[in-house]
This record gives sequence, structure tokens and C-alpha cells, in this order.
Amino acid sequence: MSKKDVEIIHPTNTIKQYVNDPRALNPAAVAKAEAAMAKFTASIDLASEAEPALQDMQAAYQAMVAQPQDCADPAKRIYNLAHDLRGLGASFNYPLITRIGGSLCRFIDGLGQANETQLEIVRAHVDAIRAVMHNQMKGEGHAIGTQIAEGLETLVREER
Amino acid sequence: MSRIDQLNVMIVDDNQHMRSLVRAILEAIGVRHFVEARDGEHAIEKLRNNEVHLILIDWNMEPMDGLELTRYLRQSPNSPDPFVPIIMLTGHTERLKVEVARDSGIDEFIAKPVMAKSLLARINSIVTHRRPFIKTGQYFGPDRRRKSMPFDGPEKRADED
Repeated sequence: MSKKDVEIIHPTNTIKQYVNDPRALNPAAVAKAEAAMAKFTASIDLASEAEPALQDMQAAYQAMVAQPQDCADPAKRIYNLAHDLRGLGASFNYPLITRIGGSLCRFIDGLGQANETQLEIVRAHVDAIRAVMHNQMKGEGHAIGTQIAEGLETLVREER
Repeated sequence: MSRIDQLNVMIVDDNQHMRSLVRAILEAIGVRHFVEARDGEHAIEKLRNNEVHLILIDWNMEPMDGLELTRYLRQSPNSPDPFVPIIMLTGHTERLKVEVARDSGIDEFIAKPVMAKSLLARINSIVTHRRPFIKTGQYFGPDRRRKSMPFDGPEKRADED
């Protein structure tokens, strides 16, 4: 492409007109924002808030089982839910949810048909997410949960 | 005098708690006006009636995701503001996906979990070093190169013909 086919435009920096006090984004402001964030995340019980997503995930899994040869849509649904939970887990102090959700995302991304082993792996992830939520396994240091997550990650590496 | 209390920020995420989390961070630094949307189509609908100065977009949403919304805002003749600053917040961290997001025309990218420090740093980057926009046959959006390099093609302001 020649340079005459490229145009450079300098847009008006509207946001600068509003964020015009450097104190708005200085370290003191960051500390204040971090405190507000911590207060908010502590006020949310992710285990109960995520229940509709878990039910949705279970229903999508049942849809995969019902039609394993053509399961792209429910698999995509599970991917989106797991991806969402992965982000929420990291923000709301459920690192195991982030880890297991991430493993499920890697496994199910683009899955259009599933054999029995693959369905079992999906089910194991869904069950593990539910167990972590129900047992409110917040933060680090859950030996059994960590072992389960490691086991699931190994399965995904071997089978995907 | 600070005018941050007049800044209008749109938060587009299908998860209400993520929207509230981002909102809590911005409220702590004095932002008072928010427009929230649950997906891309909802955001476009709300943008018809609201002027916003910054958009924070999640990637995975249905029916219209964050990439599609970004492309619409940058390229559609019906876009309310092709130059609006866009920060994408997402759990996707794979290099390929980051490049796809960059190529859709976002200004900044934040990998979840969202941290106050990284969000405010990205906003600061837009405030202090907004990149020029590049228009080619295939791309319209902020310059994807971070380095400042000499260019001898035509340059103009957004409000010029």
C-alpha cells in the first residue's frame, strides 16, 4: 500500500477536557479506587450470584448429551458461561473458578461434536465448578480443589 | 477545576457485577455519570440518546459482542462517534486474540481480573497520549504502532474535510 492510501487523523481529545486534574489519576486516587473495589467485591457472594449461570451451564451440558454429534451451540454456550465465570472468579476471590473455568474454555472452544470421553471431561469441569461454589472455596490454599484443577488441566492437555 | 464529575462513561458487559465493579472504581475517583449496557446492540441503542466520552467494553457478550460493537462504532456510517475512546476488558489473553481486538480499533486492552491501577493507567494513557487515528482501506482506528515514527502522507484534524 502506498503512503497516499494511508490517512492520519488527530481526533479531538474530548476526555482530556474532563480529566483535567492530574490528581484524578495519581497514586492517592488509585489507592482510593482499590479500597472501593475491595469493599465492593467483599459485598458480593459469588457462590449464590453464580447459581443461575451454573444452572444454565448444566442445561447446556444436557443439550450436548442429547445431541453429541451436533453440539456446537450448547458447547458455545458453555464456553461463554465458563469464560464469564473465569473473569468473575479472578475479580471476586475465587481463583479455583478462574482456573477450572479457564481449563473448560480451552477444552470446549470450537467443539462441534463430542464423544463419550469428551462429554465426561465437560461434565467433570461443570461438577468441579459447582463444588467449588457450593463449598465457597474462596482464595488460595484448598488442597483438594487444587488437585482437582490440576487433574482437569492434565485431561485437557491429553484429550484436546 | 476538575470536571471529572461531568465525564460520561459507558460500561458494556453482560454481567451486572462486572459493570458494578468497574463503576465502583470510577466512582471512587469522582466519575458520576454512567450509561450501562448488557451487550453491543443494547449499547448502540443507548448511544442514540446519550453522549459518552469513554466506553469500557467486555468481549464475550450475546447477541452482539465487544468486537462487533467496536467495529460498528469505528466503521459504520451510522456510528454516533467513530473517535470515541474504547477500552476492552476481557479474560482473553492469548496473543492472537489481543491482536484481533487491536485490529478492531480499540484504544486500550485490559486482561481480567480488572485492577483499579491498570484501569486508571489505561485511562491516563488515553488522556495524556491519545494516539492518532489511521485510515486505510482495511482499517480505521487508533494507530496500532506504539512507537512514534515519521510519516510523510497527508495529516489532518478530525474536524477538517
